[in-house]
Amino acid sequence: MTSMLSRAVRSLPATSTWAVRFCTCSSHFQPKSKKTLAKNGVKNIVVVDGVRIPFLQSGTSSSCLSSLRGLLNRTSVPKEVVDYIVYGTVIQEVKTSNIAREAALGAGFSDKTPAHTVTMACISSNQAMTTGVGLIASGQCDVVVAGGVELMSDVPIRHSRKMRKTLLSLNRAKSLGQRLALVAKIRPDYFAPELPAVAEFSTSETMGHSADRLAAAFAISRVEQDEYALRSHTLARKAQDEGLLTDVIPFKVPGKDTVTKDNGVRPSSMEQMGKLKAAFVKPYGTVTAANSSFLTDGASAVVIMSEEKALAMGYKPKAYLRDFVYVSQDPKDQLLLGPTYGTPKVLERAGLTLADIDVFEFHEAFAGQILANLKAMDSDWFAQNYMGRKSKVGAPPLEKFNKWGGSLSLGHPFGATGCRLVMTAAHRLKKEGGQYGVVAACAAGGQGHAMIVELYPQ
Amino acid sequence: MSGADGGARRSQAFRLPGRHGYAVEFSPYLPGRLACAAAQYYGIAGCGTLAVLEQNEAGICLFRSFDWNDGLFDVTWSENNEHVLVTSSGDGSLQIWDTADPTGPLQVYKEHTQEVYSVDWSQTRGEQVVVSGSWDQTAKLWDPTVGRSLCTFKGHEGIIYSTIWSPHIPGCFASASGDQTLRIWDVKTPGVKVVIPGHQAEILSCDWCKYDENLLVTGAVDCSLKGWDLRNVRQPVFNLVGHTYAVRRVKFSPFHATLLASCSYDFTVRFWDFSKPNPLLETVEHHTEFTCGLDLSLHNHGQVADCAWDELVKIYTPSCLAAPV
Repeated sequence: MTSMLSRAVRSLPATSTWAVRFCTCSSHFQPKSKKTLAKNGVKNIVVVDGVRIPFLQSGTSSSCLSSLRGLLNRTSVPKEVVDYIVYGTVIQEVKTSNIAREAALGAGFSDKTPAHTVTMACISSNQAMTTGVGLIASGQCDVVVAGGVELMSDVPIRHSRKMRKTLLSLNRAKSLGQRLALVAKIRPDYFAPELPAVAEFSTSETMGHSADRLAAAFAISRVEQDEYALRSHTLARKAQDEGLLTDVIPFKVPGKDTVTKDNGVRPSSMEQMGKLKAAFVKPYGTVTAANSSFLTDGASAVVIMSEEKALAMGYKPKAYLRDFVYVSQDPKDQLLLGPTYGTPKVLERAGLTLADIDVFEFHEAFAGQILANLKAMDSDWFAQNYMGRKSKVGAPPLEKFNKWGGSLSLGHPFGATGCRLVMTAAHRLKKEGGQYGVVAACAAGGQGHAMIVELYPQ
Repeated sequence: MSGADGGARRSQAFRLPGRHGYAVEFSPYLPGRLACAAAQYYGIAGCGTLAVLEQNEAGICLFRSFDWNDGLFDVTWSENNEHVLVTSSGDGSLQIWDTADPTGPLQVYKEHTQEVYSVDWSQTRGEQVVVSGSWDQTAKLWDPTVGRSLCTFKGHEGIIYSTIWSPHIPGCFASASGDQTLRIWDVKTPGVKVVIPGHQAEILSCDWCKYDENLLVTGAVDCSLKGWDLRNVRQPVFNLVGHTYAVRRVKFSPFHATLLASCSYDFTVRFWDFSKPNPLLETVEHHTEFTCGLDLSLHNHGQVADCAWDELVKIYTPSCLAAPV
């Protein structure tokens, strides 16, 4: 009798009294969140594996799209099986509008596999993954490769507007006289190039400046930010030393030797970090180079399948990709608060509470941004006045938070971070014995994303 | 007294064949007497039995038993007559029985529209009333001499599992409900007095402290017991964890201010002292099914009775209560 009730069989008609009594008794069996988030009639979507090439500080080596090739090798997914490829990137390669297609061809995928590129700032690879989830859930595809790439070492630098106008008109000039007239207008200031800046289009404010204002608004001190950055670097170094970052594949830099580790991890000390000057709001700002993520090159990719397809092909998936949400808020004053808005929404959607979550992997754009998000999530006032909620969400406990380092230490190639977060969450769930993880990130433009990852039963 | 057997000493058991015990209660008048409300087929269907048992040195014997055509879920003894008891049953009715009259109930009170899971006779001397808590989300007040309910208390948003009178405050009772709240009521007003959102899961049981009129304990599906001070309900006074399944019933000790007992679906009865840094005093696991009923004797210090769905009623003295403090 006990075991029957423990299995909480609910297939009884609810009309008879004994069914009601039975169900009331079985409702007392709620062992801690062992329920799965599978929904009736909705396919279970799993991530079979994911890889990334080591994230390298920009300017140290030029990375390429070998993450895709590495993924093929690691998972031995036959090329013909992949139905679709979606890739995310932020700084667009000028010579092609669809880098996913070019990368797929370069990596040796079948030329019969369609591919497209998405962009959503720092959450581009999250968007690539959820696009894949959408294709599979709607039954249009079974196997999707999703990922992201960012090449900061070779960013497109444009001519100034005046120079562009002159050059374009030169194309149309027919006679020598017209051409000479155009060339005569060129002045020295035409040659000043337009460098891409990590600045908001709508407000022209650099993200670091916005982060400094956010830290000030939430009264996050310089010391707290430095401590958090030290934590991130220390944990990343520890994870590297213990061999926990198994999603990293070695990668041969063309013309140089092979890199096997992220080269940005550098735990230092509070005194060293304290000597740095403010990077964005000079001289009294709190965001410095040490407590911000740095410009990085890197790429990552994951293979997503429907659960039936994965099992039919003999794979052991790592995790389910469950509910996800995208949020948008004010790009001026709430640019980096994406996780605060996204986390409660995705928890509600999944019917979970913060206490049910075993692993948190949040993107660390700036230490001040993370600490501001934690404070906002822990504040009743913020929840009531800004989020329209009755009470606070609660902040994720630091013991569960980014335990293997984060973007601050490992690096942040804009478009590739999402896949790293998901794979790290899946591996941490397995290692630490958890069931649910939340992945969240903020993005330029004042957007954000949160997703629930559920460990695949072992 | 040799006490090396660790756990219950001189444990006596009584089997109710084919009946699964839901509640036990010691008689306030007669030291060896206790009542057990039981149901057939685990309370899901079938009939019910009220067994009045007599316990002495030799063992437990059946003094009187009464049958009802639906399962009986709770029993309470009268405080002004040693022969009278009230039971509540799954068909929504309450029955009042006299052990001297074996023919049938003295009266049946049928007003609740769903199962009545809890019934309690008032503990304060000033009035003799009974409160019942039902799955129809209402609690009702009854005077046993009057055939109709005196008052109906609406407010809960989920099924009521337990309604218990305060032993100190006249006319005040607490109710624990599936809407995850503990509510305190005053019989003079039909609206609730205090709402305590106690747990993040259904609250199955509550009890008042016999020595502190402001203290209550709740036991819930999240396997924890929380203590509440009515003067400050924002956070619990204590939080006792240890049970591995839902806590089915909780009772404060009549002899110690900080001692309480709880029984759970994990087949165990646990004894706690919340004033100690390690509050779990003892775990008694002598049942093979869900333990539902629990009572601590007023007459014999340290004597405990419990009943479970394995058809057994057990009376014993756990070692943590044996030595008089």
